Amino acid sequence: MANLPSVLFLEKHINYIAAYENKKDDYEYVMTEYLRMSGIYWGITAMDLMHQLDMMDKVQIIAFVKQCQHKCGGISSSENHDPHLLYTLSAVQILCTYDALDTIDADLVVDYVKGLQQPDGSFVGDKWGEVDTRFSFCALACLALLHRLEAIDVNKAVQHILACRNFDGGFGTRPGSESHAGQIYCCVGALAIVGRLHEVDADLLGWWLCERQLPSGGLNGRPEKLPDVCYSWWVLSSLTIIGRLHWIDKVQVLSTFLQTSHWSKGMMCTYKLVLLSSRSQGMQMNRYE
Amino acid sequence: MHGRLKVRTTAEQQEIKRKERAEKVKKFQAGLHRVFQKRDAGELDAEALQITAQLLAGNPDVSTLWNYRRAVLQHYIDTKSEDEVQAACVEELDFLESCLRVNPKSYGVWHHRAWTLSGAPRPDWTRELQLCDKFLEYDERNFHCWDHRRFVVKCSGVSAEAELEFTDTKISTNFSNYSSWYYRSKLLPIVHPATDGSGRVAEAELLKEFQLVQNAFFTDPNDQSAWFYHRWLLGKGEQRLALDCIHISRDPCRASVRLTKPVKLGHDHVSLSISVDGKPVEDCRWKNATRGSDYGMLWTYDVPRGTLTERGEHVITAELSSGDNDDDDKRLSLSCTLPADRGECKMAMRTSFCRSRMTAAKTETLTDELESCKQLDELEPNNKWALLTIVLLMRALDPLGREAETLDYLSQLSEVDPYRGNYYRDLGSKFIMENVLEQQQHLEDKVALKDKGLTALYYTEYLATVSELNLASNKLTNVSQCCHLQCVTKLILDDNELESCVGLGQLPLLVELSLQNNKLSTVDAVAPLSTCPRLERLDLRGNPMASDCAVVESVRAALPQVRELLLV
Repeated sequence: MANLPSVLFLEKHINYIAAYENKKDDYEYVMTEYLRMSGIYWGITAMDLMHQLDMMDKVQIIAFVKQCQHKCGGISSSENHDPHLLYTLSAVQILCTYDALDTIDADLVVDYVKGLQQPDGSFVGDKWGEVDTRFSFCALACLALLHRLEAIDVNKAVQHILACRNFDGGFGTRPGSESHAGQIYCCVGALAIVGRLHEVDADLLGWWLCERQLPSGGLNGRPEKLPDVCYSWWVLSSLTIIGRLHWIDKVQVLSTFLQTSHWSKGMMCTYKLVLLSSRSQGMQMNRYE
Repeated sequence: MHGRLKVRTTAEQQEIKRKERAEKVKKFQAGLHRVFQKRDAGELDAEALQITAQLLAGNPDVSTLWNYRRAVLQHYIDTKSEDEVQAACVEELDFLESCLRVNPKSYGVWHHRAWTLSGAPRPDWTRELQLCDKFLEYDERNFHCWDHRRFVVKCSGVSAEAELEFTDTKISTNFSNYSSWYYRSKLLPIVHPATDGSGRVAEAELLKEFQLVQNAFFTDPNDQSAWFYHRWLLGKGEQRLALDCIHISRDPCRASVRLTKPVKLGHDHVSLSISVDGKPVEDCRWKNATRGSDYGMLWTYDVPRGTLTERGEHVITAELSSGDNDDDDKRLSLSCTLPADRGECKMAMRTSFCRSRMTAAKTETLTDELESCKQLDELEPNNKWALLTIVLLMRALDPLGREAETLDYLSQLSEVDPYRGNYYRDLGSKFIMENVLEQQQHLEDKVALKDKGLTALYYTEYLATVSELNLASNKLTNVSQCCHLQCVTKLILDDNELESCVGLGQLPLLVELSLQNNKLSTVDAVAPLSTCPRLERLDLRGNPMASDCAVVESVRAALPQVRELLLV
């Protein structure tokens, strides 16, 4: 592993992300307009991890975020699109990275998020009523970043997440849905944000998660599925949150990543890799598979 | 030459593709522009449906387009006749089915389908269930389709029994179907609930499931699905909140209470109070012994001086009240008597750390299972699933008698399945603690857990009243769970792999701590000890820091209460 050209590799990624904004007529760019806000979040986070945040056009990005806030308080993926919790969280995360939360009307964001909580504690993604534990995560993460968790019924939000817990210790989209590594990340992450991790059966869930590691060293997102870098992120971060990361073989994970993506240097790279490969791997909060 | 020709073709193809894409982009952008124009003008008409359909057919993830379609359909629902609305919904469902054939895993398509069905005047649920059948035939693991199926089942009142039969069919076609096994775990407790209200499955049915799942893992011993299900079958119901132990001491004047699960006192309608000789102690300030969390199982309260006499007998009662409202208010209490002239007393409930008592029928079934798994182990040597299940069955049948065998199987597992070696080692550590606690219900003051191969500390809440604990010669890397040792005066952690003392801070009675031969190298590593007020004797021999004079000096400065610091 020591011989791999890590510097060159990172440079390529840096240049790729830095150049991305200038390819506005590219097929890929146009077709991903509907998730632009999240794309920017992934891009600047990856750049930040590589200590290259300065290469991004901060002023332009902040202006873009401001432009995307709607009267209802919610934020959309880009201009003309409808607001949604997914992009509201991405926007708040971007502004936190730039320490520029005063760009948007945070009170309105809080109202928007609050208005999406249902009587059973769940969250819908927007006014059209799709319920999903991903949106519970978005809501809790967003309000935590704004220091406004008290605006919602946290207890009920937790109760709903716990209603999605399954026989394998994992969590699904809604009560009754099968466990899935991405969904587990959202639920475990949400519980961690509100200090309720003890509700997770860490040993049972940790076992299911560490069994996602396949003989190749890579990880899958559900039993009997193929490995994928994107799932590796959900599994590894969930294991980290519940304190069981040592239950998988880190060396094998890294060497797989290196094989597939010319990779090096420590576990933090996992995060970078996933973020960097977000486009090619289709890592989107609204499409795991 | 062949190579060159190929390159040229590729370049040509690339150019063709580039042009195609450029054309696509142009069309897509023009379409999108037109849609936004219409939407902003409030045009909710057939043309809107037509243009968005063209765009969505190839790009089903553009949620704003689905939103616009819903706005149009909602307008129809609000203004048109029932038959017109029904016709529009049927057309919509046909369109969605064509989208699903192209992309059966689109969140947007499935959600829009459920939304349309909810708004349709006469939804055809039978046809919808058939659609689910069809898509689950294409891909039996498509969780979107499973979720949609559950939505249809709920809306149309399909019985849990019928769905259980559906999983029978699915599983008999293909045992390797985690989604179906999972669905059974949801359905069985509904169709055949246990009579004890535990939320588990009635025993007779549970034993039948063991047979079913055994067929599955004999058919394909390397498929995870059946093994995960099997472990669930072996599981227990959830623990109910109750008082588990009360401990009182005169010096320090303190009450400690352990509960059966973590709570946040003063929140979620959970409160804890104590009374001395029938007189309630006002305004108890409980402290959570678990660090870094608002929730905990172990709570302590420094009783004001004068509440207990220096020598007299007292009856102390702890009362726990919980419940979401007044109707559901639950009160539980636990008392202990502090005899005259004694410094402390405790009262603990009997907790089962291993398996609860089993019926003869269940014991017989599990014994058969164990035999079968051993046969499988002979047929398929080193099959990790069979090995782990042997371990779990032994735990269920005879955890104490089979401890040595169990640990042997776990070390074999670490070799067979090295990726998860740390998992098996931690699991072994958990079993060892369960057995120790099971055997010593009324724990003695001194507990020796030396040289047990422990890699993790479990159940330390149950060591809360222990005064001397020996954990030497294990493989511990983390002692954060030691925060529960609220009565420990002497703690031995020699010959472990500790790099930090996090968890050893704020131990109120700790006097003597031995940390020989660990990996402590900096002042920060021992800094938490500065919050142990009674710490007098600290043994740091054999640690990297012991040979560094500068570090040693800062350790002395950081821990002024330590009178005897051993370094060499």
